[in-house]
Amino acid sequence: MAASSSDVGDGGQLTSTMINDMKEKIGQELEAVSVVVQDISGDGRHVSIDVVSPVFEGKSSMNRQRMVYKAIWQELQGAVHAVDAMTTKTPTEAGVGQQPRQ
Amino acid sequence: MSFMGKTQTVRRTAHSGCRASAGASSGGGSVLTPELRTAVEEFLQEHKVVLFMKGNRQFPQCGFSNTCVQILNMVQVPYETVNILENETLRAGMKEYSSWPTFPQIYIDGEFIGGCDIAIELYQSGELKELVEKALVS
Repeated sequence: MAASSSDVGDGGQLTSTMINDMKEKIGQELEAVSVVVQDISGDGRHVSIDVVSPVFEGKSSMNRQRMVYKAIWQELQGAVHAVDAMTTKTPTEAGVGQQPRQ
Repeated sequence: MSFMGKTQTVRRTAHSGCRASAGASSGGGSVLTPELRTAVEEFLQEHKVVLFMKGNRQFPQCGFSNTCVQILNMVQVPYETVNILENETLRAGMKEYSSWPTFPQIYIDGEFIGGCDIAIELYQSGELKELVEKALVS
């Protein structure tokens, strides 16, 4: 009767499905060159997000983070405090090329 | 009517009326009704510096909110605080309004500036002082 623990979080926690969805959404919506969503603690309660994208060019740190939050708004409901850390860089700042990875 | 009074009224409306989904980032309904958005915008026009926080400046209810209070105190600017713990509709509505999922939230001259981390950065760089001074004369 209970859903598999890999599909449903108990709240305050990101499941691996949610983490994958977040990676995809950020990658697509932000035309990212790279997206890393890392489960630091292993229990989905402490996650870091690192995004490299040209769309960040000219935007303040707050506005860049806001773009990321918008892309994953659904996953954040109930698990927002699981995102411990976020970096948002342009390809130039990250020292990488501009082509999105396939 | 006070801002909280207005938003309490809007809350009653929001629960009894339809929940428009236009503008909602998630698939569900939106709490940020046109009425609430208008009330928020009016409040932000009336007050140049506003801190949406947990608790109030005498009794902050979270460390990040407290940090923002201390920073705004040091910048020595008049500011309003709004305790989002008192109003669930406002709490959810302000997250939609700013596209920012957490509190505290600082608004200067009607614009969302950021939360605690950003307040610290801006304070240390001197930018916060500049922003509030510009707002006070605008």
